[in-house]
Parts: sequence; C-alpha cells; structure tokens
Amino acid sequence: MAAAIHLGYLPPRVGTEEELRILRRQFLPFVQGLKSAVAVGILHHMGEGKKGEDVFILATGKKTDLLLKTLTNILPLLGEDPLHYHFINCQTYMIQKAQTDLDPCGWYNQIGQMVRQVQKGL
Amino acid sequence: MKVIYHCYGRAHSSVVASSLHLGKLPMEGKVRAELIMALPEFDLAQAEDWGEPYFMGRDEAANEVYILGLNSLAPVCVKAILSLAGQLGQADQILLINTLPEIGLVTRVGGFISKKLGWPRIGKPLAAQGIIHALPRLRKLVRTVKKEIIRKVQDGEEKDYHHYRW
Repeated sequence: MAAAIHLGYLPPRVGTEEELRILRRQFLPFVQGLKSAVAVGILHHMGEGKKGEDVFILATGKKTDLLLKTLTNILPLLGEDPLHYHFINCQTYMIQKAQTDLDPCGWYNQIGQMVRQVQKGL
Repeated sequence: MKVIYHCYGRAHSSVVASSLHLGKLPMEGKVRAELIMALPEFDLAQAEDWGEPYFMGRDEAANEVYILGLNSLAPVCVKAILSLAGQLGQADQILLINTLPEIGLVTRVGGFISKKLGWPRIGKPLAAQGIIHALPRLRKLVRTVKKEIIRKVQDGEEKDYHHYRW
C-alpha cells in the first residue's frame, strides 16, 4: 500500500472510512499485498516515482532488521552506493504510530504520512 | 566475481570453507585442530556481525571471497540478495554458498557452547574437532564451487563472444 501511495495509485490521505473502503475495492496493483510465501525475499519492482526513483516492495517475513541490514551491506559488493537506497520498514513505523492514533482511518493516513516523509528525503 | 560463503554465525564452517578456497588450508591430507583454531576468523564473529559480509581475500582467479552470517534467515536473505543482484543486472556476478549443511552436530554444539553460552575455551576446540570430521565434505563443496565459477566465467565469455559477433 505504501508503494501504491508513493506511485500515486492511491492518495496520501483519506477523510472518511467510506472513502477508504471505496479505494480499497479498486483493482490496484499489489494493494491486496503479496499472498504467497514464495514471494518472501523477492524484490518486486512497482514502478518509477516522480523524481525518477525506482520503487520496490519486499516481503521480509521475520527478523526484518537483519534482512535489511544484509541487503544494505551487500550493495557495495554489487557496485552500488547504499546512500542511493532507502529501505523502509513499514511494519516498525506502523507499530510505533498505532499506539498513539485513535482515528479510524489513522492507519492509512499514517502510511501516507510515512510515504510523504520518504519522498521528502529523496 | 564475488563468492560469499554463508552460515549461521560466520564463525566456523564459512571461515573454514573460505580458507580452503583461498589456499589457507590444504585441499588434501590431514589437518590438525590447532591449524583450524589458528585461523584468525575462526570462532570470532559475534551476533552483531551477522548480515555484514567480511572480506577474506582474493582467490587465484582474482575472485573476491567473503564470509557472511545470516542467522536462521539464510533462505530469505539469499533470495533477497539474488533478487537485488538480478534487479541490478548482476545475478551472474555473485555466488552464495551455504556451508551449514556440510557440518555435523559436533561443530554446532561447539559453536553453541562458545557463542551462546560464552565458553570459548570449551566450545572452540570442540567446534574445530567437528570441522576436522566435516573437512572432506567442505573440501568437496569448495571443489564444486570452483567448478561452478569456471562454468559461470565461460558462460559470460560465450555471451560476450556472441554479442561481439552479432
């Protein structure tokens, strides 16, 4: 969903639950998530953002931090600068935020807020 | 090409496999436990080193050889690394080898005693003893890896040749 917002398939913010329900019924790429366990660990290219950035999604399973640390450390071996990559752990962000927000659409708007922060940092 | 030997904690089996690959340990004949324990990286890495490739050296064909600890996440991490390499068009430039299946219970118990319980004086020699038993399998693995590297290089040269020809 974060990637869908990042690429503009979905708005960064919704006002009501009804609006959110309608949006979620649309057949947008990957909005329903990756269903198969086979997809864990495979990078899926979603598209290109407004600044030309490539957007990927990655199902990590357990111990996300170790996986992201490994990928970051592998980048120089592949001739890439880790500073050009942003690995965003959506789950950590959501858990931190969920404890403070009581808005029924809050979880969605928090993803939107996270995406905006990522986009600003590009 | 980057050759990465990976295991649970990059302290035992990957260290020995990479040392065999680099000629720091012999590919034939008996090896004493003291020689295994004298390897600088043997039984050294800690949990905070997991996920960080450690450069061990270059082999005779100038391939870079690394070791990497992936805890219990090897299946997912290897898929993710290869997936990333594929996205960057470099899937043929990286070789990941799991050394963990080649070692037995003795090395695992030794590693557990040394790393989890924090008793290296007992765990390290036990792990080294286990490695000696596993050495034929580790040597076989390294031989297979070297063959695979040659095959990959030849494949790459053939691709370059066809590209040049047409």
